[in-house]
Amino acid sequence: MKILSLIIFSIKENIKTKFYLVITIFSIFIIFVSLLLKGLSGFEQPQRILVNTGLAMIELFCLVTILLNTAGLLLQDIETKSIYIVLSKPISRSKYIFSKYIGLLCLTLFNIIFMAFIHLIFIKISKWHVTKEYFLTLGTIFLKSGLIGSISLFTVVSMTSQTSAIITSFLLWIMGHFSSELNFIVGKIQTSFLQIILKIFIYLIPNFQYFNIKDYFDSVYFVSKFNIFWGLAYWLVYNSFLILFTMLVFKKKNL
Amino acid sequence: MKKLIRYCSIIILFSTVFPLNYNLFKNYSTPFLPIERTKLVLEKYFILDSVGIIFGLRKIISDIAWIQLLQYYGSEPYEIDEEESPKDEEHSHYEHMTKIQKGKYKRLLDYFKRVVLLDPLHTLAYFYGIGALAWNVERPQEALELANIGLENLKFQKGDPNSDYWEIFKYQQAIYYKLSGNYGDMLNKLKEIVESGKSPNLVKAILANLYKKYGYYKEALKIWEEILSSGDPEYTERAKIQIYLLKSRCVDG
Repeated sequence: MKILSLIIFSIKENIKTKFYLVITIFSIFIIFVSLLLKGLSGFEQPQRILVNTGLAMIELFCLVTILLNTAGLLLQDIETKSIYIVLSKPISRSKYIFSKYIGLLCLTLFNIIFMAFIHLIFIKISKWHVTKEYFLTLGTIFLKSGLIGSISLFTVVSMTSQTSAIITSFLLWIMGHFSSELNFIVGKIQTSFLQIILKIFIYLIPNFQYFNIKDYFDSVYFVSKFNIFWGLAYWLVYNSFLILFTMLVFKKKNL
Repeated sequence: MKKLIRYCSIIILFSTVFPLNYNLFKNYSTPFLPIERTKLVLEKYFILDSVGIIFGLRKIISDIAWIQLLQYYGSEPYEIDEEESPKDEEHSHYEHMTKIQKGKYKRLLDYFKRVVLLDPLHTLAYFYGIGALAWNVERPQEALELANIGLENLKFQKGDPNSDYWEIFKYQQAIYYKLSGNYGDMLNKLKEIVESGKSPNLVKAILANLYKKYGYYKEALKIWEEILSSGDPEYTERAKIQIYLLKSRCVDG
């Protein structure tokens, strides 16, 4: 019950931020841009641009919202000392972190549903349709967002600066998309010690490219290679590890 | 006890991460070329293309690349190869082409390569590109190069006889007929391509012009009518003119 109240509190706090509203308006604007791009793309396959741009914008919008909301809200809680009110009640720090994360996930899910709804209206207006792969892509966008959410929560708790936490999370996002390429580059390094260290790091960061179905969701062949159960297991392992580790760091943190 | 369980869970989860990622690196494949074969072909778009690859936004950047390609191919051909480009008086010699563009748009192949490097599954880019390179700008070797890239990227479709892989294969055959001067077979192959229903209007227009050149006015007329009914604004005016000309020729003939 306490956790549920905390989750609701976390969602309310997220919604209260003005930045959130600005981003929402921006996202709608971006979908209009996709309509403009559609107009420029020639007569053949104009809907392709609309679908691709929309999906990319949904993902980027989720990323920016998560990074800024996580970084902003937790540090704001500490700065405004509202965290002491929450923690002075018999609520453990672990529950606080857990509810923060679940609140973030709920809001991300709402975001994706809201954005996808607008996107689908535009697709419908364009007299086009979506396949089931489209919805699977939305699912993977949610998984990616959840993963970057736990990463950013970890960086925010472990770092004192909001900017450094955002930058670190963002860099990990990039590296997660680029890990197979990084793996190749690291393989070319001559110094074996450095190579081992970098390899460990590459195998440690989550592979976001695995969830990046939106870059090839129109190919049934490649989409079929994505195993939803394997993906969920991967996601759960990473998230559990990151959240547990964040809880541990937060417990030791001097507030 | 609780503490111990928590620490143990973290250690177990941490050690699970490595085999999971190792397995992904080994077994999971995407349609994209590995980095050692990724060559960003147009220098001026290097940053944009890199952003697409690094941020996992290949498809949207590929779409932007496609728009930039259409703008390049739709603009004045400022990159003209003077030696290859025909003089005005030579135009009649190339009357079978949809546009007189030989020796122009020197970097057209690079533009197509850029699109399919970012999105190897962009089949329209292959069809459109092979058609434009082989018959519009008269550079069949470049068209073959693009066809080979397409066949390599879509080889996973080999098992399906109705797939885009075999469609590109037909284009490749048509180009070989063209290179060997076997225009009859080339026409038949292009007809097969158009009848498959996957060809862009550019290829249909190429076939219609070839039909006209070789005196098959009724067939040419039928294709132009089909293009007109598609509602493609780029071809509406030309289709109307061609239909008018071809109808008069059909009556004369």
